Amino acid sequence: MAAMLVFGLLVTGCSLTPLAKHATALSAAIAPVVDQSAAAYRDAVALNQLRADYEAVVAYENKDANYDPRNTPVLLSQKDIQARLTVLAALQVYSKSLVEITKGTDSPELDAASKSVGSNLTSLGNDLAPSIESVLGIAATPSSTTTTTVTTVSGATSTTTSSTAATTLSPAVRNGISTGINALGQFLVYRTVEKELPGKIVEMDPHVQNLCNVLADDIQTLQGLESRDYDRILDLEKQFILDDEKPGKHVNPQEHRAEIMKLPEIARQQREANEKLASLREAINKLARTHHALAIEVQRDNPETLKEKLAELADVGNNLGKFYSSLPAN
Amino acid sequence: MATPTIPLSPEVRAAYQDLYDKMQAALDSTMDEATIEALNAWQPEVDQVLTKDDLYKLNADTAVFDALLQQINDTNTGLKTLQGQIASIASHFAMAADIIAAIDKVLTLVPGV
Repeated sequence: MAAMLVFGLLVTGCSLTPLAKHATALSAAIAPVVDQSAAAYRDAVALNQLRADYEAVVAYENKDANYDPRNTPVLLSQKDIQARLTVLAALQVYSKSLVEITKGTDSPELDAASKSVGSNLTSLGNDLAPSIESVLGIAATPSSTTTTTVTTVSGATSTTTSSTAATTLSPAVRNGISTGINALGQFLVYRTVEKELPGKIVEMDPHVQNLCNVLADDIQTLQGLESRDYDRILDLEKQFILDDEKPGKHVNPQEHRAEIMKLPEIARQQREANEKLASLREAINKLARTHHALAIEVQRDNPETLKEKLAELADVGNNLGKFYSSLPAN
Repeated sequence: MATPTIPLSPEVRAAYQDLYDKMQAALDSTMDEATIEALNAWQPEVDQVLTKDDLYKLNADTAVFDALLQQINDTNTGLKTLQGQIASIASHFAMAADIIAAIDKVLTLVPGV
């Protein structure tokens, strides 16, 4: 019976393992999206400002009286960028919380508390031992029996037998109790997680999908803007170079070559920026898929095959075994 | 060039993008300064239409991001509560250990109790 109880605790606890794996995968998928998105927004703004510098040259060469450097348009204001970075940071907090919660059954605090309960069981354990033993199926230290024979002056003898309960529980029993308490704690944590977490993840999924869609659109928009900014910079560079070649310009040949050599470098930057944004969009799509997989995982009533279940059971058993062996022998 | 209504419909956007791409292809394939100057004067007009449409989208996205932030923060608050519940389970075990230790001490000091 006791063995079945512990087995039951292990079975219920083990279904948390794939959830924790999905939560960890989600957290890993979010990190590059947050970092790369922040860089993408800043790069796009910096490039747009560089283009504005080129436009200033054109405006002055055309003697455009309407040109005012103060009216240079801003692609994304600090407030706009902050709105994006804040929502990404909140998403990161969400994923970290999921990882912490789904790993809750392996809580070091819980382990420490259970060890403490076990090691504190001495004389009190004698009173508790019978009931604990019956639940956990653990053998206690056998009680001792003392036989005393007394011979009186008259030669008569009397024999008394007294039984003394063990003064302390054996280390094996104490460790067994600690392990059982740890399993119970894990069960309680799992019950709490199982009850609360799935609803929150499922509820969150459409918002994460929406966020990823908007973020991917945002990045696609930036991709178009950046591509045209680079085009414009290249086109103006080309025009400046050809203009410098006109008769009578007397441009320094070295400076002229240096200007020409800028062209392939700008084209390389354009290609790299485009690839970076394309990979960011792929990372965003992966994030959406990873969260959706997590939402599906928590809704499954019978998520794993028996074989997988047994493998997870073995994992949890190993973890408990490690916990048990970490306890003091005496 | 008259500015069309923003946001652009997909068909209008595609037409402007196609015009832009053709101008860019022409710019990339010539060394004739007069052609480059002419295209460099007109292509930015087309680009402006596309950019205004893009800025409209970015602004609309900002509003969506703001709304989503509220949703995510609400969930984060719920998760924090859940973490507190889990922590309290461990703390209850720790408390049990303390109580057992205290009773144990009393029993050791006063064996007759």
